[in-house]
Amino acid sequence: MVAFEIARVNLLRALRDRTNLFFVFLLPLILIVVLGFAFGGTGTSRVGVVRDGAGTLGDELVAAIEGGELDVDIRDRGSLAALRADVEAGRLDLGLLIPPGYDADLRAGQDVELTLVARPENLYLALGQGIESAVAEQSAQVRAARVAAAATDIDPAAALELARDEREQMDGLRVAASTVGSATFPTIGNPFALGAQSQTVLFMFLTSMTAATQLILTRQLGVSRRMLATPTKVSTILLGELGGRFAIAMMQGLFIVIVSAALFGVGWGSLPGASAVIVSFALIGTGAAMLVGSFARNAEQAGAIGTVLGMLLGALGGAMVPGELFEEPLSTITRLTPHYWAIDAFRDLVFEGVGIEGVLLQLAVLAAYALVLVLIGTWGLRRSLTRG
Amino acid sequence: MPAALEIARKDLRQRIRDRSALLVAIVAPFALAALFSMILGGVDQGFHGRWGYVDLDGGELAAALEAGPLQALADEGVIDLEELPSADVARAALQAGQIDTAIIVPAGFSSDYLAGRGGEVQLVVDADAGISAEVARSLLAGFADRADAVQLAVRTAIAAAGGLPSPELVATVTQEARSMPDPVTVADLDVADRQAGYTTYYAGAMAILFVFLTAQFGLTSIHAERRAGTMARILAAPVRWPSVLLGKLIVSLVLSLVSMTVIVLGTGLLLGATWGDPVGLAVLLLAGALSATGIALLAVAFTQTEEQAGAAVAIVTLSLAVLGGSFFPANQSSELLAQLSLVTPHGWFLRGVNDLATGGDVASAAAPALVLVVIGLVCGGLGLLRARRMVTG
Repeated sequence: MVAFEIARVNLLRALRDRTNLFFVFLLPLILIVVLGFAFGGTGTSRVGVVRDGAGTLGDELVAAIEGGELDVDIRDRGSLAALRADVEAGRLDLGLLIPPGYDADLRAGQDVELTLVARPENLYLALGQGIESAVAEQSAQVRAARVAAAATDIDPAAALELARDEREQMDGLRVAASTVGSATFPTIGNPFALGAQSQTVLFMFLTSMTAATQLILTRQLGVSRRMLATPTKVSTILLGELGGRFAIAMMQGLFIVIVSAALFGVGWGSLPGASAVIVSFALIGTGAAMLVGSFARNAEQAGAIGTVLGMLLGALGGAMVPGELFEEPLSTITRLTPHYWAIDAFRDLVFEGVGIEGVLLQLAVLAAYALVLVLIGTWGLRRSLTRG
Repeated sequence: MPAALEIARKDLRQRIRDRSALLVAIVAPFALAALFSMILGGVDQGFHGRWGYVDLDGGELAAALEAGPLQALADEGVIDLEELPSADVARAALQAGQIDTAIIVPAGFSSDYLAGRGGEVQLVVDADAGISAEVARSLLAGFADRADAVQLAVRTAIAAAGGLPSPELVATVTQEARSMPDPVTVADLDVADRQAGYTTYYAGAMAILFVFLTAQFGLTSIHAERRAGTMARILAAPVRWPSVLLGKLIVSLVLSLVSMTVIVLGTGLLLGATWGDPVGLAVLLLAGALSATGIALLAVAFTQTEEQAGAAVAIVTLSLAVLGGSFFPANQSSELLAQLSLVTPHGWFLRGVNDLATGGDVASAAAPALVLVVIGLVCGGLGLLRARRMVTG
C-alpha cells in the first residue's frame, strides 16, 4: 500500500537523523529526571547545621528538627561563615549553629545560646518555628533534669534519661490536627509523574513540529513532484504524509510513556483513556506540523517557527511550569492550548483513577482541535503539493 | 578595509536579514524570560499565612497562646491573625479560602489542663496550606512543650525520688522549674538576601541559554560557503584563510554580544529585572559571548555540515543548560546538582548575574567572567587546531 509506504519512509527518515536521537529520546528523559529531583521534594526546607563538638545532645536536637513537623533536609556545614554564605545565597533556607561543647555545657548546668541564621523574610521567620519547637522540647527536658537533680540526689545524666521517659508517657497539651478541602497537587508517591505527563505533551508537539521541516525538504528536493509524476493519487500522497507525521508523534509519545513506566514506575491510568489522549494529541501534532510545513517558505523558517511555537504553547499549556501554579489571567489563557486539555486528562486518569468515561470532555476538546488542524493542514499541504 | 572586517560586515547584514537568527537571538529568549517572569513573579512575594484563632476557653492558657507566639508572628508580619467567634465560622472561612489555618481552643481547656487533666488544641488546615500548616503545627508543638515544662519537671523529680510524691518536693520543684530561665535559647542572626529574584534569574538564564545557539550563526556559514562553492571563490581572491575565519569569528562574537545586551536591556526596562553594576555586567556579558563563540568554533571545526554543527551545538549546550540551572535554579535542588552546575558555563554566568544583581561590585563578576573566558579560549583553541582544514576544506 503506497500511503503506508510513504508514512514508513517518513518515520525512517526521522529515526535515521542523529540529532533526533537526542531530542526525541534523551532530552525528555533528562528533563523528567531533573524535574523529578527539582520539584519532587517541593516544600522541603534545606536547613544547614554547624554542630562540630556539639555532642550527643546536639545530635539529638538535630534529629528532633528532622523528625519534627517541618519537612526538612539537614545539610551539615563546617563553620558559621560557610553557613552564613549559603543562607545568603539561597543554597540553604535556614542555618543553625550549635556551639561546640553544647552537650557538656548543658550537662554542667550552664545555659547555652544557639544561633539561627535566616534571611529576614516571612518564609524563613515562619520556618524558624520548626527549630524553636525542637529547642523548646529539649530545653524542657534539660530543665526538668536539672530541677530533679537539685531536689533529689539523682545523678544528672540519669535525670536527663528520666525526663525523656517521662515526656514520652506524659499526657500533656496535645494538638489534634485535621484538614479540610482537597489539595491543588494530588499527593503522589512518584516524584516523576508530573514531569512525565507534561514532558509527554511538550515533546509530542515539539517533535511533530520539527518533523514539519521534512515536508519542506520533500518539496524542495522534488520528491513530491516525482511522486506526483507516478500513477499515485494526490489523496494517497496526502494520506501517506499524514500517516508519517502521525507515526512520528506516536513514537515520541509511546516512547516517553513506556520508558517512564519501566524506568521510574510512573503510572498512566486506564489504558483506553491514556491511549485516546495520546492518539488525539498525536493527531493535533500531525495537523499543526502539516500546517507549518505547507505554509513556511523554507526549512529554516519551519524549524524556527515550529520550535518557538512548540515551546510557547507548551509553556502556556502548563507543560513546563505546572498549570496548577498559574494565576489569572494565565489560568484562563492556558485553556486555549491543547496542551492544557491533554495534561488535565492525564491528571484525572492517573490521580483520580477515572476511566475513559471520566475524561470525555477533555477528549472532545482534543478531538475538535485535531479535526480542525488536520483538515486545514491537509488542505494546505494539498495546495502546496499541487502548486509544485 | 581589511578583508576580515569586510567579510564580517557582509555576513552580519545577511544574518540580520535572516529572520531565524533574530528569532533565536532575541525573540525566543525574551518571550521565554517574560513567560517565566509572569509565571513565577508571584513566588517572589514570599510567604504569608492567614490564620484564624478561635478562643472558646477564655482562660489564661488560651490567652497566653494568643498573646505569646501567635502575636509574635503577627507582629513580624508573617501571618494575619484574625479572631473568629466559633469553630463553624472558622471552618466556613477555611472553605471560602479567607484563611488557610485555624487554631481552635475548646471551652474549659485552661481549667482542665491546669487541673492536670491534659488538654487538646484543635488545628484545622486547608489542604493547600502547605508550609503554613507545618509552621502552625511546629508553633503549637513548641507552645505545648513550654506549657508542659513545669509538669515535666515535677514528674521527673517524683520519678527520681522513687515515685513517691511528697507535697514539699512538688512545691519546691514547681517553684524551681517556674523560676529557672530556659537552658537553651535561640538568638536570631539576620543576614542579607543575596539571591536575585526569579525575573532576573530567568532573564539571565535565557540570555546565556540562547547565546550559545546564536553564536553558531556566524561560524556555521563556513560550512555553507564551502558547500555553495563561494568559499573557493573567496580564497581565489587575495584573501588568506585566517582573514575569513576572523571575519566569521567577529560575526559570532558580535551577534552573541548584541543578543545578550538586548535581552539584558529589554528585560531590565520591560520586566523589571535588576542587573546591578554596569561595568561588572559588561565584563560578564563579554565573557559569556566569548565562551559561546569558543564552543561554536569547536563544534564547527569538528563537523562537516551546517546541520551537524547545529546539532552538536544544540546537544552540548542544552545538556549544559539543564545542568547549569537555565531551567530551574540549581541552588534549590540537591547538593550534587548544585555542585554539578559549576562545571557548566551557564552555572558560572548565573552565579555572576546573581552576585551583581544583589549588590556585588565589579570584583564579584571577576571569577565567573574568568571561568567563562577560560572555557571560551580552551574550546576555541581546540577548534583552531583544525581551523585551516575547516576553512579551506
